[in-house]
Amino acid sequence: MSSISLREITKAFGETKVLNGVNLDIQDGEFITLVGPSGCGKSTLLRILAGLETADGGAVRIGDTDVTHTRPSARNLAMVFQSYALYPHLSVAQNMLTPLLLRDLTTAERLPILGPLLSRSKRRALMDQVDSAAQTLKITDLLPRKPGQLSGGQRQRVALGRAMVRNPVAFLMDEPLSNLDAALRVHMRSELAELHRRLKTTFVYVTHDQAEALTMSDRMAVMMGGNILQFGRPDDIYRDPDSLAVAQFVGSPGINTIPGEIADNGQLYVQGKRIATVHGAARQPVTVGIRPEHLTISHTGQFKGVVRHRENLGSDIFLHVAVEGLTQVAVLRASPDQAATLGAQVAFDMNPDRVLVFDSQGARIRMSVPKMAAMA
Amino acid sequence: MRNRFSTGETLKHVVLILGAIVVLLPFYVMVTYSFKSPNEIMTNSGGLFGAQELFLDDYCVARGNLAADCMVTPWIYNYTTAFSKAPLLRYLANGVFVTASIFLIQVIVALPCAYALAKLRFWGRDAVFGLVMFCLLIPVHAIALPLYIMLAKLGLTNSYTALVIPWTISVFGIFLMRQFFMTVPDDLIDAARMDGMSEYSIIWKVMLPTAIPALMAFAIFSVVAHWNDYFWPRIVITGNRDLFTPPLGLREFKGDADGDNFGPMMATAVVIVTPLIVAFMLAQRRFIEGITLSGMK
Repeated sequence: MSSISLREITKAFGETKVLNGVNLDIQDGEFITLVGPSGCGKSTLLRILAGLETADGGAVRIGDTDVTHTRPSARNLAMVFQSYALYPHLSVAQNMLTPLLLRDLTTAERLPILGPLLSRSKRRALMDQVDSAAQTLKITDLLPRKPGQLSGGQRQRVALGRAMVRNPVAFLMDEPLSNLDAALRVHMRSELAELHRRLKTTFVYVTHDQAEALTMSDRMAVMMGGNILQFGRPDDIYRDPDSLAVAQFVGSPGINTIPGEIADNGQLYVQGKRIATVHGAARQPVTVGIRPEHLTISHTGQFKGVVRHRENLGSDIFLHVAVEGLTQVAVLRASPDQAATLGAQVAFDMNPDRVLVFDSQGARIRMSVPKMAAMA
Repeated sequence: MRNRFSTGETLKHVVLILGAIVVLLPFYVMVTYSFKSPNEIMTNSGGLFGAQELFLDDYCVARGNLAADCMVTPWIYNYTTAFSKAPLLRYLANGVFVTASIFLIQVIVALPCAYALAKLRFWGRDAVFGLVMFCLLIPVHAIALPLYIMLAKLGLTNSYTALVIPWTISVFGIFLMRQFFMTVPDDLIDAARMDGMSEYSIIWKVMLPTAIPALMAFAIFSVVAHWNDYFWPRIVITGNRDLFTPPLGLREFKGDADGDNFGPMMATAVVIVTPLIVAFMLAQRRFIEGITLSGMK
């Protein structure tokens, strides 16, 4: 049980810089998600933490020990891979037993025929560990089978089991759910979260799916272009992103971005309509971000448009509205009974408290003075 | 309408059947000759198994036996002569030992090489692989003479070493296994590293078991080539008959003065190829089962 810290990690593959001095502090027992589009360096960062890749610069610490140059197996981390990476020629039980045999038995005790005779009691103890992990994951009846005879979800559990038996300092997971079908993926999300609550071990989870990050993690790090753009609780990142890139990446359907401007007195205008006041901001063109659930249909709405597409999710309907004077359609969330039909005229308002303002570089301009004062 | 006559299909089968006949005919000749008496072989009579009429064994008479005691059944005569005139069992044992040693050492060399070429990142890897590809182009016969001279200088001719050593590094094996290892997911190797395996353990405990189908394919090439090899043993085994491999044994029946002794020669040939055919039939299912990496994805 210990915390993990990554300091100024840099990595390049040839000319391509993958990580540009990444810092990350993970507390003991936390569920951390590294999330970002493909190629953002999140998997590389995880592999550096695992020891499968060496960093060009920087340090990795687990607890009080510097493990930057320690072999992967000596770091006592367990990893779950996207392809599960079970040994195809070994049974489930042997798959789960392998890391224990390699860690806890001496070379002599691992000899083919002589070894089992020398270490019978030890092996029995290890097998008990496998059994208890199998019980936790409800895979006891799968133990004698080969990976080829298992379904995707079952392999997933076995891979988790193989990681669990070692009682590692932390579980590292590299997109473990992306080979599962959609329904099973949603189910496994809650199971993983449940498993984390039960084991109380650190989880470091890599995914490109922001929904997985939002649903499971205690804290999530949004990565792009080899940097961590923002690190914090999922709620905060969703509600209070530091930059346009983060705001656009998190949330589905994505945030609406509309060009606007801040006038001399800090008044925010979108399409010539006054939306809110941004205190202390200079006159400048800005990008206004607003999430679909913060656009509300009303007869007296400031903005008008035509419904171009209806996305029916059952509980909610997302209306894609073409607004006059905007190149992008605006997406807004409506309840099924108030949703307009295709081609109908709708009017809507922006919730001024939930408007996010970004400058031309994509950096956030905080809106309200009172809130800032409250935080300080 | 699946049983309808189709000209195209018929034509394909005619061509295939003709091809099969061309391949199988020498085989047929070998098997029937091994059953026939010398007279039937010369006159090309007797069908598949020969009439199996008793005939007079000239050698037996020449050794001073009565003609009546020297009447023999053709197939029994052919097969007993095959084993008695030359120490065929010894040759077969030599063949097994040499072929097995070659294959074993080839695997011990090729697997780590293939693993390094497929999965490890090191400077000059592509250049080394280029060299491997280049070596595939060198025919054995071109380097036979230099090899022989080297072995002769070392005093190694007429030894098992001479039969085995030149074949221990199989570039074909390295190439074949490397291509197979490329298809093994990196995750599997990383998982083994996380579990604490050394690189050599990964080769023998993870890569080898997953590579069994590819290894079987390589085994066919290797075993067939070296079991049937006549050229190389003929060069390095010059005097010592104890070291003869089965194909060299065939030469014992090549008559010099008293004519060729085809019956026993063909019986020997049948004995030599039978192990290969049996092995192939036993292993056939494993080849067809194909590459079982289904546990991975």
